[in-house]
Amino acid sequence: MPILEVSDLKKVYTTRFGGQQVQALSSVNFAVEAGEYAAIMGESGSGKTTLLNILAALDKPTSGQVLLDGKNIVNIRERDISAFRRDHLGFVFQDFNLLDTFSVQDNILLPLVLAGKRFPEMEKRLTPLARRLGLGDLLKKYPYEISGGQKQRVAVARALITEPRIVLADEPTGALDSKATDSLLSLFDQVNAEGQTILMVTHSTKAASHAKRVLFIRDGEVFHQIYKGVSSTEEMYQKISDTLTLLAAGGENHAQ
Amino acid sequence: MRNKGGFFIKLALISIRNNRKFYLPYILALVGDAAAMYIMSALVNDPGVASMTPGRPNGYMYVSVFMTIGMFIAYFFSAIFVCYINGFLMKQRKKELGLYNILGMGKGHIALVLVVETVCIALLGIGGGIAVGLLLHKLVSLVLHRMIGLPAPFGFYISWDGMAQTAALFAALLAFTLLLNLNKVRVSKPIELLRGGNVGEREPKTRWLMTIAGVAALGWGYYIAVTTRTGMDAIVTYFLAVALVIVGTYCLFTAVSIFILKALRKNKRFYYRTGHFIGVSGMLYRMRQNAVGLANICILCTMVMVMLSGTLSLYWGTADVIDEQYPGDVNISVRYYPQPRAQDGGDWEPFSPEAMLAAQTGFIQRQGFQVEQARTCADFGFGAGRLADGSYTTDTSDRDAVEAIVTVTCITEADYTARTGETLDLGPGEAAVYGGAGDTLTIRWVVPKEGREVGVSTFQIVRRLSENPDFNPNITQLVTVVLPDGETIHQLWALQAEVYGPEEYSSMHWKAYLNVDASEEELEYLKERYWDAVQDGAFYEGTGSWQMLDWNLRSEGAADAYGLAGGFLFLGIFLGFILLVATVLIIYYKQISEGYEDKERFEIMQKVGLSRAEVKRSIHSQILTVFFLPIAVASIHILFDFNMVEKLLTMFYIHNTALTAVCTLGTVLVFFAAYGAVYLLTARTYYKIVER
Repeated sequence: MPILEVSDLKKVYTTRFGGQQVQALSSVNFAVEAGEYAAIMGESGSGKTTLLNILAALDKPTSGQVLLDGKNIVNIRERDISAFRRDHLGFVFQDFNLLDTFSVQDNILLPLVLAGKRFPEMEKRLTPLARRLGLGDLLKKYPYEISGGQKQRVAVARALITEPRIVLADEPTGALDSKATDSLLSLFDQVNAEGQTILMVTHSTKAASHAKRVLFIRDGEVFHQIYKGVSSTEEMYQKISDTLTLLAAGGENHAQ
Repeated sequence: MRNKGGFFIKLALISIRNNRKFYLPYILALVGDAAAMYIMSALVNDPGVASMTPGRPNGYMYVSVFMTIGMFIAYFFSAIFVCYINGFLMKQRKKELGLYNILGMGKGHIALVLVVETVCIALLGIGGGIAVGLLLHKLVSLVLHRMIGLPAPFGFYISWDGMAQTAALFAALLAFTLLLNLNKVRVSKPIELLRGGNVGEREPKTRWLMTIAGVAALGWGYYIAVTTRTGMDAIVTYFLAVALVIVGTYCLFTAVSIFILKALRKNKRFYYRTGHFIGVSGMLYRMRQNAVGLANICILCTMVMVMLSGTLSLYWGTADVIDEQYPGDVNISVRYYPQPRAQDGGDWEPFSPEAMLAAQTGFIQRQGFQVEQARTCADFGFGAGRLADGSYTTDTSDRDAVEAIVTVTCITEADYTARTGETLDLGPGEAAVYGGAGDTLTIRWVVPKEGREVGVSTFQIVRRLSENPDFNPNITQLVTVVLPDGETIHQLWALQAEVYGPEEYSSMHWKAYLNVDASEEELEYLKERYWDAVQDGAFYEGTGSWQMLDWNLRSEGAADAYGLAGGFLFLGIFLGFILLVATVLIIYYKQISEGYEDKERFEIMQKVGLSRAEVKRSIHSQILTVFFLPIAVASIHILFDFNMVEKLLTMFYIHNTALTAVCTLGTVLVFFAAYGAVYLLTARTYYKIVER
């Protein structure tokens, strides 16, 4: 059974004045298997942020369902959503979203504290995780004292510490330089190799080329998808580029 | 060019309107302060008041003096607070100004916008203030006249001088802030303006020196306050204590708070809980941002409460003071010596209280009035030092042995009963005492510096008095001894005379209180006639030798006392108002600025799994803590300050601890209520910002 199953997801926004309707997602269907590493690509306005917000339970779809371990998250009661989110999902954001008021250690522990865990257990989880992500020396520092790449590693640690079913990453490399991007992507590869399911939204071909599967979304629909299979990251990169070119051309045709 | 000028005026107006959340309270505060300034100025200048009691000063004299002082103080506070708010506004607007700059407006143009804006604010604030002042002046004037016991003035007085003064003072103030702002724009780079407030926030460091200094200053200030024993001490040490507490408060908020929060964070089991985790780190961050602001609010609150509770106690205590100091319609006091001194000539005769009373009542009756009641009393006081064993000595030269300098006043039981209505039934060798401790009262009559003991008087204390029956403002602590009869007092006087010698011994003090069947005007006539009548040398025939005669009407004393107390209360209310406006505004702006900063933090927390309900609870508890911390600390200050205010009030003849306590408690409660109202008002704005 897939970890995440999205079927016939639809989202319509009504503008504030005039009641004009904008369709962000028309019909999205896909599934993510346990241990998979999937990327969703699409241009600005293609609906990928809306999709991610719905997957993250930050937003409600107009219709359709999102099954996480067979449970429809669309129907979770409002007051249980926060707990659900911190227990089952891990988040990595483009702009890190670390709190300057907390040290690196406290930023990583934040979801556990919110979940009401005891400190000894927090420590038990933190120590090996910090070692794995190479954050051992940074724990006592503050977010404003470390580099962007390091910040994103801290954000990854924060996402992983709850041992989530799935990590949702929203443009995780968007604010990183190429060296930090490489480092983060190899970290994702490593985390995925250890069995963590990852779903990443990006428009960076390089980032997507690390995923095992890439879904292309356009005009609110999954338009196309490609599997990495046995191809190398470089070959995957090429495949994605080709697809994007095709999509862009197709888009122009479509527009006329 | 005209078009262009119009454009800048339009831009400035739009900017004020768009930023009305910031500017409206600022303008309203300016209106309030300017109105207060105009009213004070108009009260000082009002010509109608002096003419009410032609030829002699009335209670209003104090008001004029106080209001003149008050204007300086009010202006000083207005200036501080206008600069503070201006700094805040400029910080908020940096981004907007930076954007103008980047979009192609030169710095000259930005300066022009600022000038136009300031002119608009000045017109609205000062113009509005004077208008409100004109409207309220009459009302305030009526209230004031009532307070100080003068008849209400007629007519509607407009003070052109007051308007000019107010306009000039506030225009100068706003011009000053404009210069500050122009300079800021001149030296800044557009990109810095654009980034505005977003400067990386560092974690506050524990400042040991400040922590220790803060605790020490506060402790010292409190120690001074609670150990003050006399009004004179209070006057001398008040400003030191206030300065120490102010320094202590700043350190408390900036350093001690961070020290405590960091200690809490070190305790892992405590810290890593949902509520504590967000709370402690949030507070740590807030204290860094707001410590000075909170300390300001705390100090302002304390000042307002001290001023209001002190002046209220003074005003409401005045009725008692008048009853105590002027028991009769006519109050006469005389000093005399039971024995002749060296400088007294051969014509010395002993003072005759009976003859003096007869001369006075005879005079009043000759004027056609009836003396309805007459009471006389006598007392005698001398300075002494309290020794470690609780006894008193007249030799105070040994500073190590003497614990405290006191004034011992002796009165008879008969006078005590006449004054209080209580009987004591004192036997020979017994006494009732106010002040000091122990079962016996021992006075060692020792010649100063020589150390020769002339005698020892010992009385069994059969009763301790909780209230001083013979209160007077004094620089020393007071001990009042009620003795069985006048004979005992004269014996003590004689011993005292022997110890101090004829050059330095104290006089006896005789007082007569007469109630006369006459109206206030008739009494004033009587007083005039009195000073004429005594020109005749035969008036005091047979009264013997005495000196320093006082002849006072209660009505005059009351007018004077109410003028003073009313003037003080009025000043207290006025300055209290201005400080309150400042406090409210500082709180308001603090809430807004924090709201914008907190918004981002809470958004992030929501993303990683904090529910809305938890966010709300967390915001609520933090904002409540931050909000009520200053007033909580201020209340503690007031608690310690109470003793000092009480002693200070004794210099104004107020020694009613219960009344002062009620006034203080009442002020604190009312202030808490007002503060709570401000909280509710500003918290709404805050939540709107955070939850949007």
